[in-house]
Amino acid sequence: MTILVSILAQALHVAAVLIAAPLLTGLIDRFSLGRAAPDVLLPWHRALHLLRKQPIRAIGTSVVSRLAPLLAMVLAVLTVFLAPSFCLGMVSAPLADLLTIAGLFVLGRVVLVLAAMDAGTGRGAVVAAESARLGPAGEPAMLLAVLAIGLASGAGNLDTILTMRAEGLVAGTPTVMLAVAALGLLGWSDGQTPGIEAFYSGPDLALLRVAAQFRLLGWCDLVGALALPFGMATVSGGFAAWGIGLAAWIGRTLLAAVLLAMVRKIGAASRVPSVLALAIALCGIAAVLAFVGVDPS
Amino acid sequence: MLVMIVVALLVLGMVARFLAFGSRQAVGLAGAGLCGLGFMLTLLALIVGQEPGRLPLPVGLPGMPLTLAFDPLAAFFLLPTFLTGTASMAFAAEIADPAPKASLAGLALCLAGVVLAILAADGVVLSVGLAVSGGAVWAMGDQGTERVPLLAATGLAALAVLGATAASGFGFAAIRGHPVWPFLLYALTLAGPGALAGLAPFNAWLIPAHAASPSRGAALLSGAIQPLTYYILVRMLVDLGDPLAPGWWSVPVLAMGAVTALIGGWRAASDMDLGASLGGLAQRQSGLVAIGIGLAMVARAADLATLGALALAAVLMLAATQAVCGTLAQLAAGAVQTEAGSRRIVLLGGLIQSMPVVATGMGAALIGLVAVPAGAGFASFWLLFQAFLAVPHAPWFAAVAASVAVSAALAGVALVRIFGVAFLGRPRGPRAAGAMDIARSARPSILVLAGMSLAIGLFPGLVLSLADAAEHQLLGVGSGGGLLGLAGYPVPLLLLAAIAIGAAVAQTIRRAGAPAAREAAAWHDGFAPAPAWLPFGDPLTQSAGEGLLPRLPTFSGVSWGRWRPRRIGGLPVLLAAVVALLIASWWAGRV
Repeated sequence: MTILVSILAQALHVAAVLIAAPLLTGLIDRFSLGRAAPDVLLPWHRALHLLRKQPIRAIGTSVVSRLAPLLAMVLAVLTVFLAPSFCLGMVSAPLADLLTIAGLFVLGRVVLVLAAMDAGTGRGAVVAAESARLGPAGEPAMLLAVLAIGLASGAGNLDTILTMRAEGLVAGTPTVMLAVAALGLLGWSDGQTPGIEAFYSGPDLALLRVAAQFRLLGWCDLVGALALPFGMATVSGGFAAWGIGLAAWIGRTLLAAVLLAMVRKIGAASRVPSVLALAIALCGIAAVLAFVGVDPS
Repeated sequence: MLVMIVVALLVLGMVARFLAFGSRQAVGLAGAGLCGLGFMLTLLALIVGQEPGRLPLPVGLPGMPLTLAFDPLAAFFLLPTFLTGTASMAFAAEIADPAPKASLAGLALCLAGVVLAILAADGVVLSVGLAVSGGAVWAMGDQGTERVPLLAATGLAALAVLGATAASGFGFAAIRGHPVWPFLLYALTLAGPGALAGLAPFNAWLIPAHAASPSRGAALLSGAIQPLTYYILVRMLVDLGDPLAPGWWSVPVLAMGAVTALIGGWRAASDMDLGASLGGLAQRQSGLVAIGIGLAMVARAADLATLGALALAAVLMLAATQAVCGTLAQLAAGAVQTEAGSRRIVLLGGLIQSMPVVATGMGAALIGLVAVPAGAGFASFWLLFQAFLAVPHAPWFAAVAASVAVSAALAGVALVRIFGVAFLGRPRGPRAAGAMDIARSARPSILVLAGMSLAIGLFPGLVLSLADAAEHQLLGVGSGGGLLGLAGYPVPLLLLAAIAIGAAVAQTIRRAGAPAAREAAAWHDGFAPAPAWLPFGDPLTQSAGEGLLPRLPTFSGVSWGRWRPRRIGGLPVLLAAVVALLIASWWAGRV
């Protein structure tokens, strides 16, 4: 019975995030542009429209660029499936290893950069150079932040950490919060690196765009669940608790949309290196605190 | 015992074939068959749980009996050695190396030396095996100044092993548990085999030696000698090391490992030569191994069983990965050099179109060597990460963890740069455009190694279940393992989920019914097509992989002066070194 319920919760989670990912992008547009914004559902319409168009591929590209959109999509969907939205203890809970989620984000970026270099164009070189410049800064910060969270909470699995937080076994200590803040900054800067949409058209382009939207939602779920785990339901908590959890998750996602829209409005996109530096500083402090095992509180 | 005897026969057979003048193909296939037999027997012995056995050798000087032994640790390290031996022998049987001295005899001799060193039960046999294998690799290329340090490092390592074990009478059984002068054993191990593994500050020789060796020699260096040095480090520091060693002994090991991993990652991400880049990745593996061994030493000093098991599992995983992926990457680099005329990545490009098998091999090797999910490197990275979650409280572990994280990111850049520049994009010259894939008969060795690399990444639990006996031997605890991997390692199940999601997405796209794709010239942001005198396009419009990272300032290290030992043949030097070692160790044993 429990397994059936957890499968049901998983299905609800999957349906919710599948609907929410394009909506989140539409909401950010709406909040940042105000009345001039297009319809919130526009990302959905665009993706469905692109799916029916004929793709054009550059001569001389290899299987790497042919598979990259699908791979990027699969990786992004995996991260969204693993990061819990409203409910803990789903079927995917044992797989929600923090390091693996971080690794999926990294692998998604690697796939995109390789696809950018495949056509042999100048823009691809720019994408590669930019990610080689930011990668060695952002990825270690992400790994260290994840390590600090794991050390301070005593587990490496996201679901286990959140369950222990819900049961009051561990607290959201300042160490964890520093690391989560670093993760938030990294998640924001992840969306600011140059994309490779210029190389694609038709269904491939739709996949890339939707994959980017899923990636963004994955970051929001990850950071939101660790920063504001209030109202998170458990599988055995009953449907009322699920409703509360769902409402809390919608609230968190809306808050993320508002924050991201505000950041976009102040034009912070050119500040990615400074933000990365801040993230490195935060996660460095968090890692030292976690390894020392003291919590300033 | 059966295994030991057969393996000893194998060693003798290899040495005997050094003198045989058969055809290349026959010798290579015979060697591959012997290695394959050894692999099967070792695997069988590990699976049925063969009792450890000892075999005193009938040769040796008076007062210095030579012994071989077969225990789970040796068996685990024999497996990847035999595997890479099989693959590189089969590869060499089909493809002649352009370097004239890179003969099969050197290959066989080196493998025999490595097997001998792993099976050794005393310092003398171990150092003889080391000297033979290192000397054989050195003799395979031209004996230029770049490669003298290789010989020196091997000799240094062999001498250090002798010196470290001499005080207790060379035999491992006598040293285990209560070594005489344990600090000498520890310090000499770090300085000798540590230098051969390329640990900082003795790392200056490793990458130039990789770059200057012919590809087959580099494959041995990276796929056989590097794992052998990991074996020696584990054997001398964990197995034979003082069980009552003070806790600070782990600090130099961790520091050396952290610096090495950083330097190796940086060189891999910034060097322009394919061989040197792959050498950087090998050096990074050495650094991670040293960190794992350091954590195991921490665990033993603080009596933390979980930490010890995780750290040691990471070390064994890294060694298996380095053997498989190091060999594969260097063999693929050799094929690139033969076909496309260069290992400099600025002269390559677009090789995935013309050399798909080699590109597959290189891709699998790189995924195994860097830390992205589903690769073998991610499995060992995950194990190290779990070990870090179990370390005792101390702030400087944060620095070691940070260096592991930075080196993982640098290795990711190296993956993108090596594969993206050399194998993707447009060809940058006529040789790269006209490259052909390797001969059909040589493809199985590349593809089998690539399959092994992916299999290790997807099912690390299988590797660890083979390593379980070795862990029990060293620490008394194991980390288990099994088909679905370790407890908590999610990649195998995630792969199933990924396949399901991919199929669903592909089906959705097919349902949407877009017309089939058409091809058009790549869009260069509106720039005009390149003029006719640039048949490979404007080179400025394609990344050359330069300047992605600034180059690391290099230190030339020891100056070798005017000594140019080019005129001395490889074999006399080798024999002289072995004889000198034997005499020296015999003298040391008498005193």
